[in-house]
Amino acid sequence: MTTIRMTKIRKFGLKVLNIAARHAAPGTRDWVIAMSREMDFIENDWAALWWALGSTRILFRRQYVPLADLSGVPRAAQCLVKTIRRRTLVGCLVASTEAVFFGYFFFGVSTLTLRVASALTVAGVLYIAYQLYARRAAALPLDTGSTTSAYYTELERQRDFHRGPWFWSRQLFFLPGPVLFCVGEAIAEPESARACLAILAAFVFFWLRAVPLNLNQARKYQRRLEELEALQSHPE
Amino acid sequence: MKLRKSPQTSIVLAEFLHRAHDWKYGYDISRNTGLKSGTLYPILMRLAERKLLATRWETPEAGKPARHMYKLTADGVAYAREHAPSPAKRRLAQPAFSGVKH
Repeated sequence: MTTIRMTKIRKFGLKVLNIAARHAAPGTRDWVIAMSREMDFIENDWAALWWALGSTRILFRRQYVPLADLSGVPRAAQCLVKTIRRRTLVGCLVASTEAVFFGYFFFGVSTLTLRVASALTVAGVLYIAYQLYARRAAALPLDTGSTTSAYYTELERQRDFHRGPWFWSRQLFFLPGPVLFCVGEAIAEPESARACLAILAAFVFFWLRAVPLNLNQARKYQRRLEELEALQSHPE
Repeated sequence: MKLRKSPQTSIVLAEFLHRAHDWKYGYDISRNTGLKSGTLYPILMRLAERKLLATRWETPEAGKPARHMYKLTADGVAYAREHAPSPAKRRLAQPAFSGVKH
């Protein structure tokens, strides 16, 4: 084994990996450290740097950490509450901003179609905000026994937020406003029809993308529920 | 056992099937499959998450940092045999990085 000289490029790569390790989710951190250890075996500095930069990609992946036993429930419950609180806050902020934006359009636009589209969009985002608020995190008790049962209930609530009537009503309610808005704008301003079509295509893309993302999230909650059931029936 | 069967996952599985009982290092897998770290590690993470891949830290020798090692579990070997491309079809890409130190 020859000794590798610590060049500036390599040092930068290591710095990237150290930052990545600091910000990685608990289950992911070990993997980032594993990647940084491999850097010692890459002789080419640029190859080492590319290797290090690749680590940033796994930061976007939240490694699923299975529950080892019931003693891990309070911590997992706290994580869930924190995540849901963040979702409620960010979601409601975004929805309020959109409501104000399209509310302004409602009074500013000239055609009836655009006015109806603005009203529908405001109604759609307010409905989303309502759902986010209604499915905000519940306060969980601190002792393990009560936390487990409250955690179970909370997981069920959050799973149902991402599938079934909650999810599909959200999707359907939000669709007509922006679609009508793009169509109405294209009719009112024919020279901007191409731009409207592009915006509409982008909207439909994200609207469709929300389906697998939500269903996948629901599956994650379901997996945690099954894990919890298994631990409750065989606590050892 | 659900796992997204991308061509890259198949290549990784095929690589693990080659001397399936040996523990392998991340960089060696990357070199042999031509996959970059940002593609390879999420696949390894998914396989480990589904208990198809066993992981362990190598016992460090003096002066050397411990490396993370990977090997297919019994379930992983069965899954890989089912889903990995046959050796004839397997396309070994160019090494992702050059300059490995042995």
